[in-house]
Amino acid sequence: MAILITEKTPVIVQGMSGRIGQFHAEDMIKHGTNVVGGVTPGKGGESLLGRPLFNTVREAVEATGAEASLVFVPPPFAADAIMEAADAGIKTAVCVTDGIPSQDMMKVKRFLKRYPAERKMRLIGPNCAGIISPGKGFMGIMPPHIYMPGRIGIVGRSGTLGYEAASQMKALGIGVSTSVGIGGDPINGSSFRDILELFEADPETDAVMMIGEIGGPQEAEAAIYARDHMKKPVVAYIAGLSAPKGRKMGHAGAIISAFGESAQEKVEILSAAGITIAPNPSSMGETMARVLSTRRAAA
Amino acid sequence: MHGLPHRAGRDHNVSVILVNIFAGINRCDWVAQGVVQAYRELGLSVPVVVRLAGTNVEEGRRIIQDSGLPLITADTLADAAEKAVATRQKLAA
Repeated sequence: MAILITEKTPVIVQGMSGRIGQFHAEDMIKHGTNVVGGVTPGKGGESLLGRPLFNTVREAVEATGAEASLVFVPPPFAADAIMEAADAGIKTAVCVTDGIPSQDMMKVKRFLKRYPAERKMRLIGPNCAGIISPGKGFMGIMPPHIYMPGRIGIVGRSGTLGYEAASQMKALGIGVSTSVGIGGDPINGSSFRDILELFEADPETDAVMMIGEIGGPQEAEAAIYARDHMKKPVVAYIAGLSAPKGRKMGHAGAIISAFGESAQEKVEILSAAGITIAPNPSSMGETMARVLSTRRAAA
Repeated sequence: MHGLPHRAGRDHNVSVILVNIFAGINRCDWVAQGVVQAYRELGLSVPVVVRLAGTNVEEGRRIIQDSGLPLITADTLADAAEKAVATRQKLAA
């Protein structure tokens, strides 16, 4: 079953006719993703990659039954594109765009809050690599060949560290159920906790690799959730052990501004919640392998 | 891409450059071209360790190989870090 995307999920790409949108949409189709169309205002009626283009998300949803949307829209217009997807009845939107103004994201969060739970769109990102259920389909910019299908969930703020984890696990023969990039922005759609809940409920996921970094309270919230509500083991790596306070490290959200936001403090909070820590970015795969074999021995 | 080795190559405190790219939206062939171009244009004298993985990795590795430049290649993050440190120690010895 995996989470968020399977081989059946009908996907549209907002901004498919752009250079980057087209490159990755083509890759998604090549790897079996059910891409049913694209949205580019002004290009409705044309087609691209053998898929119809629409002027609006609503038209695309009505014509194709799309349930998920990948947003490849430039920063000034991305918030509007996300809200348009929510309004058109899209269930899951993944936004790759980096550089969306925080004030725009505040607007998006408020907009999404107005919907009743059963009609509320789930937003992944922005500023993320996207989501992939290996062998089934993906929405995003990740290189799909580095993932092996399997039973481990990955959730991380950094796209690249998510790739590292997947390829280290593949080298050890450990596969992935779904990998989710929640993005590096200070205000994002889905949190670590939101995704942990999905993995805990997914019968095809046995354990979770969580990749956090400095800045923000989301890792600590996830630790409390894992401690109180999860039966599946969690392995975590936290980037930024050498990061100085008050300096932004690559991601807009990666800045230590309050107590508990440094890598060392997060490692302590996660460890106290029973989560196994990978000590460096090269040991994510082997730490997961060790946790899995201990589990198997205990069972 | 080639701006970074440009800056690092001119800094006298830099003794080894490590380029580590796991490409997603980036592409290994672009990165490889940038490294090769920077190396040639600057006539770099510091050793460069290059680790490429991800999108278009084969093309990227071919560009590095075909360049004929003395670039040190690595397959994994750990391998790249070890090679960079070993190169630094060899220089210091």
